[in-house]
Amino acid sequence: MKGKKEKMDDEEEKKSSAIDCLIEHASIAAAIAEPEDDIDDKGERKQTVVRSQVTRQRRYKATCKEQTAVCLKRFCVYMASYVGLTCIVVGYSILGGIIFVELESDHEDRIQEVAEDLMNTHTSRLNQRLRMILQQHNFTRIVDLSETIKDELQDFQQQTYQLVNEEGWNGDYEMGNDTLRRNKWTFSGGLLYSVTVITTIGYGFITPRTTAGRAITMLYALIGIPLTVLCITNIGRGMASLFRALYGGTFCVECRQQFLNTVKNKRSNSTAIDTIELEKIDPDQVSIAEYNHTHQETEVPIIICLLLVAWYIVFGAIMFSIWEKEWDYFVGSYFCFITLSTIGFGDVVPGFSNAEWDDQVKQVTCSLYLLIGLSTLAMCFDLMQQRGIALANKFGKFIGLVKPGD
Amino acid sequence: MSEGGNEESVFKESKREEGKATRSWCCCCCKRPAQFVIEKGPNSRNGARLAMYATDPSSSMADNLVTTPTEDHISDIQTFRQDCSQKDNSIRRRTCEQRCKKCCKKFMTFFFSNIGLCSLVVAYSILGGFIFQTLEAPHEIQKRHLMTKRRALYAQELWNFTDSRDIFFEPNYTRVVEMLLVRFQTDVLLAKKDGWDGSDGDVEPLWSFAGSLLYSVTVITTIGYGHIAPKTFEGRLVTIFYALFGIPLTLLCLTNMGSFLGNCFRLLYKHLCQLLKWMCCPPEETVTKRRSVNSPGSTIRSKSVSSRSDLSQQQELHPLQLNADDKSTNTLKVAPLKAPIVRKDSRGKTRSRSSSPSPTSKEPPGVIGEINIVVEDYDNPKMNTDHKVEQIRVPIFVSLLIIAIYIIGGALMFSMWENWDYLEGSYFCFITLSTIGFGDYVPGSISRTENADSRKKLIICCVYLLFGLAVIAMCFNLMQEDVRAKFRWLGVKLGLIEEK
Repeated sequence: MKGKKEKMDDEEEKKSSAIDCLIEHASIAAAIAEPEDDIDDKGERKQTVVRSQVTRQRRYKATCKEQTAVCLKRFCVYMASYVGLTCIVVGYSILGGIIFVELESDHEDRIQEVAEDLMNTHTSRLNQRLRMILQQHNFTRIVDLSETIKDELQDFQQQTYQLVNEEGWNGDYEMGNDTLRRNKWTFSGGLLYSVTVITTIGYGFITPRTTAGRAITMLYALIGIPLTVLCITNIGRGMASLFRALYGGTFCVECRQQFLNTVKNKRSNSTAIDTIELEKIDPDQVSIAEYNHTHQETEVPIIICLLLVAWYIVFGAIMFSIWEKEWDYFVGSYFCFITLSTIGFGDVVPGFSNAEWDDQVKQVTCSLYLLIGLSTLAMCFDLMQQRGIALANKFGKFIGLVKPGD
Repeated sequence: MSEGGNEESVFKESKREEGKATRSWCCCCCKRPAQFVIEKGPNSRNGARLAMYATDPSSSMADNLVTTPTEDHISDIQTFRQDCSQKDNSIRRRTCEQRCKKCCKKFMTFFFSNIGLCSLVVAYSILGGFIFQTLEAPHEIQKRHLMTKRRALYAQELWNFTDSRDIFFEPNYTRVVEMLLVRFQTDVLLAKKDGWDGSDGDVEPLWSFAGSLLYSVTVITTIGYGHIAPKTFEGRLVTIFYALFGIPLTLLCLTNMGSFLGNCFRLLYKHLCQLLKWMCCPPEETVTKRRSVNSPGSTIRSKSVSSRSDLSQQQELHPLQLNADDKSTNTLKVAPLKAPIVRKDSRGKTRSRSSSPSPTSKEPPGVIGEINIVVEDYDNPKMNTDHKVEQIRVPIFVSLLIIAIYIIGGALMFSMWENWDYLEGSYFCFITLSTIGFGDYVPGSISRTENADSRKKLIICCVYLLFGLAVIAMCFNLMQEDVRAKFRWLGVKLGLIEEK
């Protein structure tokens, strides 16, 4: 008797989930509905049980309120961790975009002026040479001078190349006022740049050319990369559990509903309820407020994870190759693969290719595609983890690195 | 019967039938026939458990348990062991193909150890260098010739233009020349986008062997400079597959290297700290944490051994023990005498402790533990070599300092070579080591007139890359524990994590 009461109290203290409320409620109901066939030594037991149950009833109400509060707090923390981190990363990249545009757009304007100067200089020099040729009558001199035209052109070519390579000139030349200037360092370009920095993709077709820009890039990366890694792994984990739930076909809500139904049924037929039977229900299995539902260990096969990644790449390839007229499907998938593996050459980038450059929508979409793609990758890694580890263990056993039985 | 832990079977390599193998002879001391049974326990794979039964065919098992084991019993065990090993040897000699299999396994084990992986990665990148050079160099050379021709064409056009005019009318000229130059410029830019490196032909091509090697390394480490990138269809296709296999391989290698270097550094750090403490305050004894270690790079083997050695420490070598729980199984738990048999445990320390036995211990003590170690020692001369490092916690700032030193060192070296200034050099090192890899600064790309020089620079760049990533992996390995502890503390403080 005493032992049982102590045992109940201990369990009360240990358990901290909402299931407790229900168990206690049910057990109280059961105890109250116990049949009246007590023998003497059992009579004392019934009294102590009823007394303890009255105190437990009071405690039950208090603990139930506590439980809901705890549940709510947990839910908020749960949501905050995902939503909050995402917001932080998005905000960080937007901030980065703004900062880098500030720092680099001046330099870009200056470079444009340098390019125009270059063009003017070479035009006038060529003009001079040509005039000299026209005014020459000595044939050998004419041949020499014609050679100098080639040299002029070569010089022009080298300087143009250097301007593009080292100073990041975008190659637009305004003849008169016909063409619109296309800037690399627009807001969307800066956003894409920041995203490529913090995800370590690092395209390289836009790079900071000022000293301040470079220093701030290093600082920005130092803080941004761990942040992004954290955020993406978190989101990946969350998406993975969601995917598992979808794949397994069971939702936690259903489980809870199921359990509540069974409890209700039991309470209605509670004349012969054995409280011990209820206590036998393992709270870990049907906890409501736990996020890591251990009963939901559906393993997603590796093939499906790989297919998911492949699908995402194909989807991106199709989307970008439709947008960019110069791309075919292969170039699109090449871009998606190089981007999602974070290699990031930067030789082909949507929104910065020749045809429709400076398309801000494309650039922003590219950044979004990046981030979502990396989260999908993280999700697939999380999904593949269990199977992957099991496979690796098998392989390790096979080659003798892992001793069998470990 | 409960398992005493993992044990190595004496018949590790030979084929054995499932179930039991028995050998029997007369036990010399008590003059009863004894039987050694090797049977598969519930949890053993190819492991075995030696259980000594003293059997008398006429009576039941329980009556015949040897109650006073002597040294002879132990010597019996040893004889049996030798016997088994001889049989083992003969079996080994018999099966050649099994030797081959063993060789293969050993080869693959070596391969997947540190050295093997590193050399695999190096070989993979060299292979990649050859492949990409073959695929892309012709295209580049073609592009160069094309540009030279184009330039000649433009010059010719200008010349023709002057030829057709007799008088020099300036505004006309200017406009024509300007338009021509604009067209020429557009051509130059397009060619650059298509992979042209801006040079004419006497310079080493971008896709030389050294350049392709650098390219392969940047692909498999996901740095991805982009200053050279494949422009042909085959080049791009091969890049995709090359990356698919190369990136996991490199990640594996770097993780391994990281844990290995981390262990080395921890040892070094511990010795350094001890030295410093000894120098500062000699009589004080430093206490280093000793936990049962499972260093990340080590095999899981070490864990089981450590647990077993802990077990045997706890367990107790008591001369005689009849385990009440095991009546049904009739196993004799014979604990050897301590004096003659002092076994070395995995760490090379001798255990000769004795304390009171624990009759209610769950694990079968005594013989099973002892025979385990006997068998294991025999089979396993090279026991968990990774299992040597205690988990020293290296503070975070030390790891960050290491990274900073490496970056600054690289910056100094490269800025001296390439005439960059220090900021540009450290920018290059940082962008490279963080695997962002813009490609705006690449050593060996600007001064490509001196071929040998540029080749050397590119290769040194590759080496710097790979080694730098290994150093970063090492620092991550070192920082892991400390960072995790700090985050947990932070989480607890913020109320995100419940304190348990």
